[in-house]
Amino acid sequence: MSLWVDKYRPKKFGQLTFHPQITDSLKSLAATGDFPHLLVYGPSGAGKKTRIYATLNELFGASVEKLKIDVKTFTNASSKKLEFNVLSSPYHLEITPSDMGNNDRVVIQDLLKDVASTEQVDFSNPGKNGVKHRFKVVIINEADSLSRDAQAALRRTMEKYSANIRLIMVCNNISNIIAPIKSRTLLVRVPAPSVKEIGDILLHIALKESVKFSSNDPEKLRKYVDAVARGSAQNLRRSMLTFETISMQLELLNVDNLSSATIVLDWEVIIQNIALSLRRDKSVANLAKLRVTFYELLSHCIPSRLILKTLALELASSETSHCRELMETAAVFDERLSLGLKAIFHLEGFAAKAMVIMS
Amino acid sequence: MCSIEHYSMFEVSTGTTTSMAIKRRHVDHWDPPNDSLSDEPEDILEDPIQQLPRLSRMKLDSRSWVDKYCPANSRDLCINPRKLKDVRTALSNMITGELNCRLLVLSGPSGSSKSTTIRCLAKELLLGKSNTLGGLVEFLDTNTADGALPMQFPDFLAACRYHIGSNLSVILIEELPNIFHAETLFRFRKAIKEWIFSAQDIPMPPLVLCLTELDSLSERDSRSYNIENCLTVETLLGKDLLHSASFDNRIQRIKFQPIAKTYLAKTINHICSAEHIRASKSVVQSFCESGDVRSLINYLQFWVGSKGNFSRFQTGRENQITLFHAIGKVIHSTSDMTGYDHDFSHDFHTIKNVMENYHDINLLLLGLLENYTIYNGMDFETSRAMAITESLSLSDTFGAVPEFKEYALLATRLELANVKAKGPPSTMKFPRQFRLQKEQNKVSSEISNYRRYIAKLQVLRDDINLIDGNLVPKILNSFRYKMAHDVSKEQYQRVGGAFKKLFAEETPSIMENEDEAERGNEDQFRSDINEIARQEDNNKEDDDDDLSDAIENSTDEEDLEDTLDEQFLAMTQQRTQGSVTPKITIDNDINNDDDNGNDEDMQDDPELDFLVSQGIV
Repeated sequence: MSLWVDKYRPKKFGQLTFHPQITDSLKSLAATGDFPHLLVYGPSGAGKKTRIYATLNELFGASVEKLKIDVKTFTNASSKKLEFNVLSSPYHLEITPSDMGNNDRVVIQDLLKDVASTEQVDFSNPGKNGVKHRFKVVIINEADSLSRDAQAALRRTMEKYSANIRLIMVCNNISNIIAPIKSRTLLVRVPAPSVKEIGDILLHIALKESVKFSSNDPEKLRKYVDAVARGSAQNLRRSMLTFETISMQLELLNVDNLSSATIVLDWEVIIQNIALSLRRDKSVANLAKLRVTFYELLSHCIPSRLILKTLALELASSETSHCRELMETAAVFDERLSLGLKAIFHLEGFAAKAMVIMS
Repeated sequence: MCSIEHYSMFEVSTGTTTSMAIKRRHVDHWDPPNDSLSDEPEDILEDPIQQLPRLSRMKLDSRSWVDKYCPANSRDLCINPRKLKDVRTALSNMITGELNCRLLVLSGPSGSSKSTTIRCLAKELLLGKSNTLGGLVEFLDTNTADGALPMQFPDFLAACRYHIGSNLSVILIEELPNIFHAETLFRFRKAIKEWIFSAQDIPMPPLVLCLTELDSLSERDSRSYNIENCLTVETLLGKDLLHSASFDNRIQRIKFQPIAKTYLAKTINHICSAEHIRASKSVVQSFCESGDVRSLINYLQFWVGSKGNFSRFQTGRENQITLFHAIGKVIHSTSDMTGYDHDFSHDFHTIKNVMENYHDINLLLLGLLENYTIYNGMDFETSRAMAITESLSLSDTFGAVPEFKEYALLATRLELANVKAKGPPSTMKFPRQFRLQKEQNKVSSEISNYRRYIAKLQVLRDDINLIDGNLVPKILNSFRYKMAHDVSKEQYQRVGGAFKKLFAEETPSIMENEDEAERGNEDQFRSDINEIARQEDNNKEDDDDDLSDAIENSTDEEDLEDTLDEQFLAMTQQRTQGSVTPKITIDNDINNDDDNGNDEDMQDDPELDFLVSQGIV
């Protein structure tokens, strides 16, 4: 199974197409042979991981591409055994906190300690290259979902083992990262690529994969791929998957039909229907009906805050006169979603309030 | 001598357990209660409290009144006559063997005359047909010391098969073996199953199960509903058994309700006249609240014995209410004005009452959210709905402080109190939270598997769920993709399964047979995942240079290989599932309970089950 999104992933700095500034600074960073702890952030599908792997490639060579999956076992405070998966190459490890659940603190501490101490053994007999890469890189995905507890533990670990470990933390939003960590890392923001940049990539792929268009007028082609990019909220990953889906489903892409260039994801369709129903029928009975749909989304692990955000934006875009109140209410319930335990209370609370605001 | 008698009477009446024990003892030699009317013919006084000094001089019967006034025949039963008729019909049909029914299940709260009804009816219906005294054989957990403990019940039941012909007896199961032990529960269900599905032409004695249903025994593990925290007919016998027996009515169920005040009052009046107590109507009324005839008689006895100077509120049976009851009280307000303090409003009192008598407030709040809309047939202002959901949402953010939970209850009550029109309410629904969690676990474990085996950990979970999960199957299913890559596979489903509506049900869903629904739809991703897992496992065995410390993993994956060795797998399952909940060893016993009951199902599709369980871990 090889998707375009994997097939056309750049491996080296030279293959990266957009954000030349970031590429250049990373390149110069890698050229020194060393780098500080990094905190790479930006919206999803902006190329954060691709840039990190390009940097590692520059530092360690192609062997960072040889990835394997290890299973690590840990014992938590109540002596329960935990297992979780680590993606690793000879030079780096990659971990994701959501795999570890509530035990992220123990896992992070143990794992880093483990990595730091094994590296030291390796250094007792340095190779002919000397001690050039005396550190191992640990990539922490979804760093913003680390608990406060784990972040505090990380802060100490970063200082203690800084000789042997370099951390690269990846997240969408740094608002949830504690200040001490921000201060100990070099912040790299990778913004979403522009519509044009995505369009360029899609056209390049179209050429390589010989995708057939109804017309080869470059202006129309450009419009079409831009529509794909825009419909995917400038998320490169989503754009590429969407483009592949469209070109797999259709023999010939009709460049005049721009609406065919977007795929509304299934959960987005559901939320759009909620918004529609909220505006159409402002009654208590409808609230009870919508509860079924909210549960449907929640049961499919769609993050509750994303549901709220999408719904609020959907409502605000069609009810422009109430936009301000809707956003204010959404903000209140967004906070409650992070404070509370059961999302359904807050989602229904927002739905009820939105009904009142709009009537 | 009198005073000693008096004390013993006190002892008996103070604890229900003691009186229960005594009740059991009486079962063995069934003797009708003495009529004590003749003892003291003249002691009728105006006020029961004044009458008490005389009472202590009475020649006292050392038995507790619960036994003393145990009904001798079905006419005296403290029960709705219609219910009595139902049970009588069912039982006599079983005795004559006219219908298929092999097991009669009586369920209901404690003190609702379940077993007394059976005892009376057994005696009456078997009179003349059988030589046995009382016509009843009862299972007692303690009376068979020999043999392995889990086998006691099956042994008992096997022996009972011979209570036919001139020995015909009703077999009563009221005391249960230790069903919290996995093996015992398994044997229990198996024995019942064998009994029910015995060939139709073999005469069998009627089997009656009296079950006092208990709702949420503990709050510790409120993640799911199972026999651990909720003893009901469903959790005891298992859905499979109930379902398979329902086709030809092999099990008949009769539900008992708390006894209505009218019948209780009749019984109280009967006892009062027998004991020569003249109780005022209000006293009788105040005794009739609980609907539990056993505790009622105990309290009556104690009240009389203590010279009437303890208040009913100190000793009255705590009216533990069920979830639906509590929701009903909050939504519709209560009619129970016990201890009504006029300084506060009626609504305040209602909530206080609920807070005192219902313990799982978090579940109650979920129940309120699920059910506030039923008020007045869903016809009230959205602004009220807004206020209610607002308060529920707010109280969810407050953490565990009970006062804040009370806030939401009170707000809900006050808002609904202001709704003018009174329409009929719809039926109440059980909160969906448990099913939500179950679904979430399932989806999340499928995403984990996809991420681990197909995406090779290189895609983030949220990306998989939100983007890839929807688009990748579309690509893989497309004709052109299949052409290009020369693959012919089945349809891929959305990662984590298709979106499913989650409707509320009227009863708590029971957490067994987790994977029932799963078996039906085969998913290509799932088989891909299994395939890859198997390959990786093989590679691992070949690859001796593997220096990673993946020791745990490789053992687990070996288990995957041995799918044929079901027994071994079942053992692993118990191990993995047992480790899900970090509890002390005693609890682990209880935990395994469920697993054992599921063994049969698990073996149907062990590989998938294992993956699911692994994901949960």
